[in-house]
Amino acid sequence: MTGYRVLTVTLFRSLTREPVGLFFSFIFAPVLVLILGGIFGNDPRPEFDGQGYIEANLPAFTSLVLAIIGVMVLPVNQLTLRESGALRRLRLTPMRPATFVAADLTVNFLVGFAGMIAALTVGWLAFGVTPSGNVVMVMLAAALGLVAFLALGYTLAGLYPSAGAATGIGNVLMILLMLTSGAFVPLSAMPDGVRTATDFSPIRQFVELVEGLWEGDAWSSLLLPTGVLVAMIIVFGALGSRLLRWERT
Amino acid sequence: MNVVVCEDVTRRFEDVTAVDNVSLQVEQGEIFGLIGPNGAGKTTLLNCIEGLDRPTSGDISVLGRHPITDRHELTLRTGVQLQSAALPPRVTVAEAMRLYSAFYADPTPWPDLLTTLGIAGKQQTRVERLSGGERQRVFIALALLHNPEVVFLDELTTALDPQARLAMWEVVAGIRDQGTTVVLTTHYMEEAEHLCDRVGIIDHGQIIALDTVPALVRDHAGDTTARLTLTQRSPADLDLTTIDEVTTAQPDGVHLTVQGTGGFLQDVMTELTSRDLRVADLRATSPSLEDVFLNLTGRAMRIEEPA
Repeated sequence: MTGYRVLTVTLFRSLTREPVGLFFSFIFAPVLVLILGGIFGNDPRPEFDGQGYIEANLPAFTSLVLAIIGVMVLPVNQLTLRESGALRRLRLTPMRPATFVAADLTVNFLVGFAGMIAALTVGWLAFGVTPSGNVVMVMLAAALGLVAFLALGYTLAGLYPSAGAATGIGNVLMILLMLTSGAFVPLSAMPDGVRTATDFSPIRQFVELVEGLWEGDAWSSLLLPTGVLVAMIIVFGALGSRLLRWERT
Repeated sequence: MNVVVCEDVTRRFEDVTAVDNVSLQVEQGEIFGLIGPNGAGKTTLLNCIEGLDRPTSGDISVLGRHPITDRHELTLRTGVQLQSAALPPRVTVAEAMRLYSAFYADPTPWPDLLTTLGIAGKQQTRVERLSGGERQRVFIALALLHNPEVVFLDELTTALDPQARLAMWEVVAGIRDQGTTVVLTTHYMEEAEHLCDRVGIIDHGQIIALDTVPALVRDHAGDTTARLTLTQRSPADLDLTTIDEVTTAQPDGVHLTVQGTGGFLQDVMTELTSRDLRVADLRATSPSLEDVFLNLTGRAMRIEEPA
């Protein structure tokens, strides 16, 4: 237990002392709320059913955090630890592998969750946008989505050939996820075919869930997106633990 | 009891045999050196002993345990410094010490360890900002935190300047003097000569010689050369080659160059004394481990081979 606690603190410091990584996982989403909110304002617009830009899209900004942490930050950091030999050295201590995974997930979860809360708080403070639904439900959904994308991150960390490749491929995946999230390009402005395709994007499903709860829909009416996220946790969790590697190949 | 036992250990990668039928024993309390050029198989063998790699065939036991199936127990009883070790980026020395201390039930107080290793003043420095020698000391400290019975040091001094290397030798000798068995790899022959109680010379994955340094030199490196200067020209009838262990003797005015083995120098001096010849100066050059490697392989050790 001491090992888990101290490792979590150490990994947290290691992560947060790196300004670029910290920026992307914690600052990027809230700053983007401010910038896009500043550009588009929050006046009611017909394409958002009479809502303002931020009002219509704020919950979706949390999906940015998932995408960045899941496909970029977590895998790149893990590959860096693997390639430098830090994981190999840890393996020669009595530390159980599960302790490392638990500490690593804790750190990424905390940073990601803080990033999501920061994005929502900025929307509230700067643009006065608040949920019609229960905020606790929204945060639960955010946590569920974050865990699903952390599981995805573990799978990707096992698949990416190197930290360099992780950065490159991760960037492409991230842009794909952002485009299909519906957070930045309103889906109502897209052709039908593209809109259908986005239904298969895991991040779109997350946005459906979190927006639905934000609007005050009952969770029981959002079973499909919930099921997708739970399935992601099971599938990618199993794959990720199978693919976990301590050694450079 | 032998601390490490390797029996017919072979590690084959696709088309390369990195370790080829190695058998050796490391005795308790000694500094055992695996020496050989880069790419000779030292690190691969050490990885197998540490349980990081599995031999293709052969058996290894460490403290009577199996390196892989008894890994957890061995992590408590062995200390490891890796050639390419690292820590999570951007952590300080103190944070690294606290982290690794947390994995053991009864660790040595790490500030004392840093003092012993001469890096007590670096606690708040990030590990990646330390000099090469200081960083190696941090990794030695991590390997010693849990008072292991044996430590494995892989190419400990490779990146160090000569002064830091000398200091590191003292550190390693100190570890042995506390009763801990040390197994190290190096491709510096001077390091093995100064530090190791016994060395195994490894080349192309095979142990080609294994003994104490003086024994290796005696058995494989040939003669000691002595250059004597007399107070007068050596007499024409002086024939030192009649002495048993002298192989060659060449007079040159007041100078004498004598090659031989064993206690030949003493017999030479006795012979000179009996003839009332006085020696003004004497220089003896002993063969080194370098010559052992040269004689055994036909190659100079310093020619670095690709890995």
